[in-house]
Amino acid sequence: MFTIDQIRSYTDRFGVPSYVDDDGDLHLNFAADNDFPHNVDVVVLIDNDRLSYIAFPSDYHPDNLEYKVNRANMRRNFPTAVMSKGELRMEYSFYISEDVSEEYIYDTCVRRILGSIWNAFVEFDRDDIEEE
Amino acid sequence: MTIDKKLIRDYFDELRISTRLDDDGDMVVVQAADEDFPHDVIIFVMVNNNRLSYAAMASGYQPQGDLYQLANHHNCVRNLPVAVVRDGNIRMECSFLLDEEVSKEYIVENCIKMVLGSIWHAFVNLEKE
Repeated sequence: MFTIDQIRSYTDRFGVPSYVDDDGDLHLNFAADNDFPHNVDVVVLIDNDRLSYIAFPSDYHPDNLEYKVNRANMRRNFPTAVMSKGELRMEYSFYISEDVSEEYIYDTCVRRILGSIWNAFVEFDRDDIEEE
Repeated sequence: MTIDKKLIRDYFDELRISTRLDDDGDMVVVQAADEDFPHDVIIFVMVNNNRLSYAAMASGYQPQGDLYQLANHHNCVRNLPVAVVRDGNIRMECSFLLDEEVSKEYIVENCIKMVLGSIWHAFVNLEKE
């Protein structure tokens, strides 16, 4: 259905630096900016019909993490915020075993999810965001 | 592509999954309690602006332990649905943005059947995994 090369060709359009690791997983490197002052490494994995994203922020340790993870999930449809071994991650996956258009993969499964992941980090510690 | 409530309800009908409409016009599916999980699971199915969303609750279900820990653990081990603590209860939630072209089979298999099964198993296994 899709390949890492295909996904990488889409992210190349955005100019996102990336590399493919020894396992064949794609790493996207999002640089810190004024909105979120931490680098974010987004790992893209493809396993059978599942396209998955796991995003790791660098050196970001919000307090009250368990509460804020749930708060983030109340606010957003995606990605899913999780606390793993005391650290924050943003995750999301698409299971696509049937036909979908290339536009769906590009727009919904790549472009929008990457934007949502970044925005989820930007908003994570803010108290003024409304719930979904 | 656009999806609407009628289209989605037609798909539910084809699957022989009974739905009723609530006061807001959203569909409601009830998964009956059984030996695996002795609480009815009530699933609200909403279609708005090409987004197909699910929000599920288990009637009368009060899990033991810290709800935030349970929800987070679930979210660490399962892709969907997402467990969210709202108003002191655990909800299972999931949504799909379907404003680009996808096949009917994708909606039926991946956005309806798989989700309904996953919601049920999520409640069954919430305190077990």
